[in-house]
Amino acid sequence: MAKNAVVMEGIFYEINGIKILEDINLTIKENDFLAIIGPNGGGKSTLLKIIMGLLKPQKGTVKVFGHLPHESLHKIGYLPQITHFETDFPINVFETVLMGRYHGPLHNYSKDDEKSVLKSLQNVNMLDYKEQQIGELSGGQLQRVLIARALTREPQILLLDEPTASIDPQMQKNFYELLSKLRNEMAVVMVSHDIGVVSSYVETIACLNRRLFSHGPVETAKKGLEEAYKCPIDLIAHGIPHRVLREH
Amino acid sequence: MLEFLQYQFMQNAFIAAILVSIACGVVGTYVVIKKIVFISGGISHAAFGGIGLGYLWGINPILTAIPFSIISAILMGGVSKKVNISEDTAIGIMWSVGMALGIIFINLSPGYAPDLFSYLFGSILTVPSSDLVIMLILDLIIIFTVLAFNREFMAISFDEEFAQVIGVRSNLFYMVLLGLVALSVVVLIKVVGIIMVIALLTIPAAISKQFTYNLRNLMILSIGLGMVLTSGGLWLSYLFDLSSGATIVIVLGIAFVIASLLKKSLEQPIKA
Repeated sequence: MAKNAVVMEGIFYEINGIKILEDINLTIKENDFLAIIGPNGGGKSTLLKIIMGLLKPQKGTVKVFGHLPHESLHKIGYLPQITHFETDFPINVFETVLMGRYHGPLHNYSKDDEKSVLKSLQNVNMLDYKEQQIGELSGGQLQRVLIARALTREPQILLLDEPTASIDPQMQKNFYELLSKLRNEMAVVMVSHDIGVVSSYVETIACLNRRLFSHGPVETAKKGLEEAYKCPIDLIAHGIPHRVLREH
Repeated sequence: MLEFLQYQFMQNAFIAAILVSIACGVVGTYVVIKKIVFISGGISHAAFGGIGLGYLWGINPILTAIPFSIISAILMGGVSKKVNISEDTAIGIMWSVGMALGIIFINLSPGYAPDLFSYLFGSILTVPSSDLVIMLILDLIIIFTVLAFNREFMAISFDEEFAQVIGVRSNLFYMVLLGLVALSVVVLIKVVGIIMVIALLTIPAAISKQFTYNLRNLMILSIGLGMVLTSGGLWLSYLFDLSSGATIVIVLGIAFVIASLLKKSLEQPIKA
């Protein structure tokens, strides 16, 4: 029986009186591969930030591996949206990933930390780029580096915010292959507004548009999507010429 | 050509140039990469309130400027997190209120404020040895703080959200960083004056950033450039009998233009 990685009960979150999340109940198992789908502004990123304890809900409880979010931060790996990165920032790939090994004030990075960084870079096939300045990377490469930064923390759950938004279709395939590999070692949760590609890789889907709809396996969730979910239907059909669902 | 160095005030001026270059190379690097130029401008202008307070209480204005600029830095950075106004607005308010307070304090002070202009526009030639000691101490505080917390400063400058996820106390270290900006403002005031402080905090680092992607090299290069350009400006101001603060800033500005053109011409052959 798989343990619970995240348990959210009765979460309400609002900013300036505007409800962002309403009555969210969500359980993520330690071996889940979950996509949280929903329109922009549907509260997806907020949900991730609540799991990480960066935002505190007004109501409800969150447990991450049985503890409060900020007590379990060391078990969480996080990939932010990469759109907000300054690409001319004076930092190279190795230094970027090394940041993931932060131990607190006045603790220097150790040889073990450096080894872990190299291993993580190997894991995402970016070892050859370790001396490169991050501005010299493509979107897909930067994303891999940031995944390595999350992995070097040896997380038990990996949270990815809109990971496919800024990489081209060719890189997306590589990206999902990487995730398929990683999901054997940790829970993987990604949020996306693009159900098309996502659903052919992940195992379960939850639909989020202020409330949580139809959380479940991809095939059944799809039905729930069309009925209960208020996001536009073209999000599902999407008009792209590949299968949305796996053969079954 | 070097005969002017025999004067005590000239020696002091060159020591001052070196001391400011250290502060602006180290802190200026963070100001530029974290894009906190505007708040740094706010802190430097608000520091004028501290200068005024010094006149009012009859003590060295540099000493009163230290707590005053630190408090205004914390207010600017912190208020927007507590109250529902943007940091931008908080800066605008503190910027002008700080300066206004300085003027009122000076109005209330008995007698004249003869060297007031030296705080506004800088007066590197009149830096007394006692101020050099204060500048040196502030430089040392800056250097040791950065040596101790460079990991945190790097993390919050690069990706504040991720910094929080890995357990960096982002708000705290942002405040510490603003505190360092406040200290460097105090170091710089005597040299270029409140109004032009921001030039030294941004230009050396902005030039260096075009030539290196390594943070430590960036700081070292900025310090070196700061020393050369400030001393160069000082020498030119002596040669042409111009205001030293303004000359230094003009030299910095010209250097920035030259460096940018140089950088462009260096890149051209690669593209072709």
